[in-house]
Amino acid sequence: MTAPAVSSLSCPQCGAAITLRALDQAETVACASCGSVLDARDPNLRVLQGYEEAQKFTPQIPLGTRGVLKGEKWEVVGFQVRCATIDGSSYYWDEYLLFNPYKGFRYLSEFQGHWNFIRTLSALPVETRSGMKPAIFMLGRTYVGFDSMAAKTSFVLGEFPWQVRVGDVVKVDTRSAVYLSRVATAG
Amino acid sequence: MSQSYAIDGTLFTVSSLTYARYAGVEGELPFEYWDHGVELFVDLDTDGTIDPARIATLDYSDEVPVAYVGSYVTLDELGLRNTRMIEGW
Repeated sequence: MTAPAVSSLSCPQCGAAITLRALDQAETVACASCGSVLDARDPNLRVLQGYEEAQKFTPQIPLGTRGVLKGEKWEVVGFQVRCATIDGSSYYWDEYLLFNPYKGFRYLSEFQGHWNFIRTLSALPVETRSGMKPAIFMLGRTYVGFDSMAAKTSFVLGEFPWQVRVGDVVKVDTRSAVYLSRVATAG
Repeated sequence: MSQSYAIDGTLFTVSSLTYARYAGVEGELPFEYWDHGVELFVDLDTDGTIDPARIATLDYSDEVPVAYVGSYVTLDELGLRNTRMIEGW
């Protein structure tokens, strides 16, 4: 296999080498060394958010790892840990951002050994009901309510095709059984 | 945002408003790209009742707004040949 296409720069905050893997698709890149969130669109990698995390997390799949999922090649370019607080308890899960320049982005999430391979949809979900329960109709399938929570970004590493920040909060509605999840930013 | 319109017999919902300008052009184009400032582009999506999903764009960059209607395709579905390879992939 040929070497991954990367471009090398350095972090303006700590001087560590920054590797950009998602070609020119990244909006932000989080420094693997000091955790600062940098502007990937800026040639000088302007600091968007200084390091302020108390906890540091290590991804089970390191950034830059390539693998084949469902017959297609993907490279891990970003990693974030999200947290939801339910009844006073905090639950953390991992999200990997996968990239293939011919296919775009996919997501791989992991919570307590349970993995989901996720893609975004190109159509809008339709709010409906299944019996007494709120549901979503999507391309021939009805998804019934499963979970609804606020998810906070606790840690980021690598590249993202959106303006990621530690402390970001999104509303997540998850529908079983095949699994449909809506992620909405506030405001 | 979120308003729905029937275009070409299909119901579309506004999903994003983008203000854009020409950053560069290459080759021959069948329209005037000069003398344009920042123009409004409205992207619309179909909902989950329409399979496969379709997409529409309202282009306000000329005197008369123009609607473009299309569908999502993968790069493989286009079946392009002799394209430039991306280094490392």
